[in-house]
Amino acid sequence: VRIVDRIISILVNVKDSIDYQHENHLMSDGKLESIDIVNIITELEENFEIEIGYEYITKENFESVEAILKMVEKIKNGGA
Amino acid sequence: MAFFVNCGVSIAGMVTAVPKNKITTDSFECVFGKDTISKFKENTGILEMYHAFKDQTASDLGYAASNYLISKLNISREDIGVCIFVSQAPDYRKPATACVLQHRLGLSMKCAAFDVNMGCSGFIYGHQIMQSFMQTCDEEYGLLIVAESATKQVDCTDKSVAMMFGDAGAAILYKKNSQEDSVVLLKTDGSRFRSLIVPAGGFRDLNPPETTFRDAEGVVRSKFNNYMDGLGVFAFSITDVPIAIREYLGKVGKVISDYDYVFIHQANNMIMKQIARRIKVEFGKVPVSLDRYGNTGGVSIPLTICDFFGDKSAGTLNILTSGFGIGLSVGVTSFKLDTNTVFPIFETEEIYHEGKF
Repeated sequence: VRIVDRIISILVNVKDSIDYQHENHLMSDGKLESIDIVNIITELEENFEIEIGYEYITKENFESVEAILKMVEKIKNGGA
Repeated sequence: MAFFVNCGVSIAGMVTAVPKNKITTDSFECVFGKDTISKFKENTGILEMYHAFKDQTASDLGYAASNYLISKLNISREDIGVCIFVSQAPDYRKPATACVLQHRLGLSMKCAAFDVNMGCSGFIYGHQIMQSFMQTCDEEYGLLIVAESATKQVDCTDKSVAMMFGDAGAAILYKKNSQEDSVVLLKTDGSRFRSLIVPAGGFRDLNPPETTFRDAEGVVRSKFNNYMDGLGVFAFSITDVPIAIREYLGKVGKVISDYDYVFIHQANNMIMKQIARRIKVEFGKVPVSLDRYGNTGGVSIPLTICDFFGDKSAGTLNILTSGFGIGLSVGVTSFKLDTNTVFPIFETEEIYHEGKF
C-alpha cells in the first residue's frame, strides 16, 4: 500500500467526514482541530514507526494529505 | 534543565477538596450541540467537573482541604513552619493568599507563608520549594496548598476551554524524615508564554475594557478570558514532557518499570495516552481522574492520587509524577508514598465571607 493511501486511511479513521483528496486547508479552515492532530500523530507514529518531534507539529504540516506525506517522508529520512 | 536533590523531607499526608457543585459535560449541549459534546467527550475523556460557587475561591477549597488534613493527622498547628499556596487564582492582587490562609488556619506566627504563581506544573514546583525550605527550617511540618478555580476565567462559549477545566484545592503535609531523598527536575520555555495566557489584569494590561472580540480562531472572548493555543500546547505536552521524563529517569538511574504508578497532569485523555506511549508505560499504571473532575491545573496530580488511593490502603509505593503546562513549564519528580496517609476527595461549600470587601 502506498504511503499516501495509508495516510488517507489514518485521516479517515480519525475523522471520516472530510474529502481529504481535495482539501488543502484542513487546519486553516477548521476542518481538523488540534485534538484531531493528537490522534493523527499517534496513528502516524504507530503506522510508520516514527517519532514526530515538536518542530513538526505545526498547522502547515497538517493542512493537506500532501503536507503530511512530505512531513512523514522527511522524518523517515532522518529529517533531511 | 535544572535538577534538585533533596534530602530529609517526605510527604506525610494529602487530601483534596472540590466545590459541592458538580457540572456535567452534557449540560453544555445547549451551547455547543450534541455532536460537539460527543466528540469532546470521546477525545478528552471529560464527563464531569466541579465549578466553584460565585463567591468561592481557590483558597476556600485549599482551606477546607488543609483544615481536614491537619485535623485528620492530629498534628499541632504550632509545628507547621512553612505554608505555601500554589495557584493562579489568588484571593487578592495583594497580599499573598498564603498570609490569609495562615490566619484562617490558625497557624503560628512563626510560619513562613507565601504564594507561588504556577499552573499545571505547580505541584512539582511546590514540592521542590517545600523540600528546600523544610531542609533548613527548624519546625517539624510544612503545608503545601495547591488550588485553582480556572472555571471563573473561562468564556462559556469557547469550546476549547469551556468544558475542560474543573476547580479543586489540595493540601499536602510535609514532614522532616532523615531517610527520604527526592530528585526534582524543573524546566521552562518562556518563549512560548503566549500559548496559555490570560492577557489582562496584570500590570502589563491592568484594566482594559471587558469588551469581547472574535479571535483568529473565531472564538468570541475578552482579554480577561483564558486563551489556549491548542496545537502549541498539545505539541509541547506530547514532545517536551516525555523528553523531560526520560531525562529524569536517566539522571536518577531508573527505568519506568521501577515505579508502581505514574501520575501525569490530567490535561486530556489523548495527551495522557500519547505521553504514556512515548515513555513506554502501560496506561493501566497511569491513573485517570479527569473523566470525573476535568483538568484542575496544578491540583490534578494530588487530586488524582487522592482519587486513586483515598479509599484503599496499598502500602508504601514508588510514585513517578510529571506536571506540565502554562509557562510553558514542566516538572518531574518521584517519591515514596504511604497510601495510608492519602484521604478521599470530599466536597465543600466553604466560603470565606469575611474576606470580601
